[in-house]
Amino acid sequence: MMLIELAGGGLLNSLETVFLYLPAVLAIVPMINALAGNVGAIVGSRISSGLHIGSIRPEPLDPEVRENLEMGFLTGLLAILITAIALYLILPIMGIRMNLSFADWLSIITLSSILVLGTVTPLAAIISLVAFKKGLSPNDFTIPVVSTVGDFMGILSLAISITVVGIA
Amino acid sequence: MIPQKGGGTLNKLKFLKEALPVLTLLGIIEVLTGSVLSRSGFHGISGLIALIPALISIRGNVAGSFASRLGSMAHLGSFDPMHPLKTSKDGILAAVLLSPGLSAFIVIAAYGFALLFGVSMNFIAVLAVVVLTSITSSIVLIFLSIYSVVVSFKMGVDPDNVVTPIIATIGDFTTVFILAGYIALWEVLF
Repeated sequence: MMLIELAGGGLLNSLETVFLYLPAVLAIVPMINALAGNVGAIVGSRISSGLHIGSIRPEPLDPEVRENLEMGFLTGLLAILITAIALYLILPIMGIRMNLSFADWLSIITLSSILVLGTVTPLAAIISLVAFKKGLSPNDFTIPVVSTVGDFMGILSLAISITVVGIA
Repeated sequence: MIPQKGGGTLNKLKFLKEALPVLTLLGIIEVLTGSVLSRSGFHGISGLIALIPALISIRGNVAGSFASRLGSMAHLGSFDPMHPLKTSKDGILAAVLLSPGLSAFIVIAAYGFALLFGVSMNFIAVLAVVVLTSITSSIVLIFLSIYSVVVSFKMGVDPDNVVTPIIATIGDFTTVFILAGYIALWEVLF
């Protein structure tokens, strides 16, 4: 799992020059990673609890699972959009150069969040289901795995968004 | 936040109402971490940036397991909130010894990859900064964990529900802050 983190780090390293020009994008890396980790943890915990109390059947197509996925995705997206809009003004005040138009900033963050949340929420659900079937503890297993993958996906999704929006 | 049978719109609004403020707040705290990171001058030590996600994640995992183990010990009675340091001695020792070891290992692995892919990395600097950061932040986070578990116990709150996410987020910030400090120290000395 540490190797996945190192891979993410390697990706960051190759983007180092981009971050020199766009410090604001580096500043949101921890935020996107944390979002992925937290949403993954919430979805994972809820599904684990549901499985344990019996309100969720251990099948991926259970409607409660889908509901948790959707809500996790939407809530995470909303949280980050609200923050992103505020940050466009706040980061420069904190002394972090923005160097991006509002449209570019918002596009990068939105695309990145969709990619990250779109990967992490189903993953959290699948890992919870697997962990439940194998009798593994959600705290020791699900959450660390989801956070680590979330960290890597966070960095990767930012890299993809930056390229797609055409900054790098 | 326990899932109910037969969801519907009411359940979804509850999810949103409960999760949204927490996610937004944690996001904002992480942005503070990010801004310290942006201004930490890590550019001065080549290859350091590659270790940052791993460093933060090790910190989160070790501190988180320590905090959750403390919580379990508290429930079982082998951790006495009245004498926190005495009863958590072994856990402290394990956590403090584990972190620098893990960090050094990661740095060495990273250096291996750097050599393999022809990426430049200032091995000595990265090793020094990363190991120092992990030792310092471990000590800080351990005391923070112990304090949080004691406080939540005295307030009658189950530490398992509250301490772990808080420690994770504060841990990120503390680690990056300490990292910035050591980077600055290194730049000044060399």
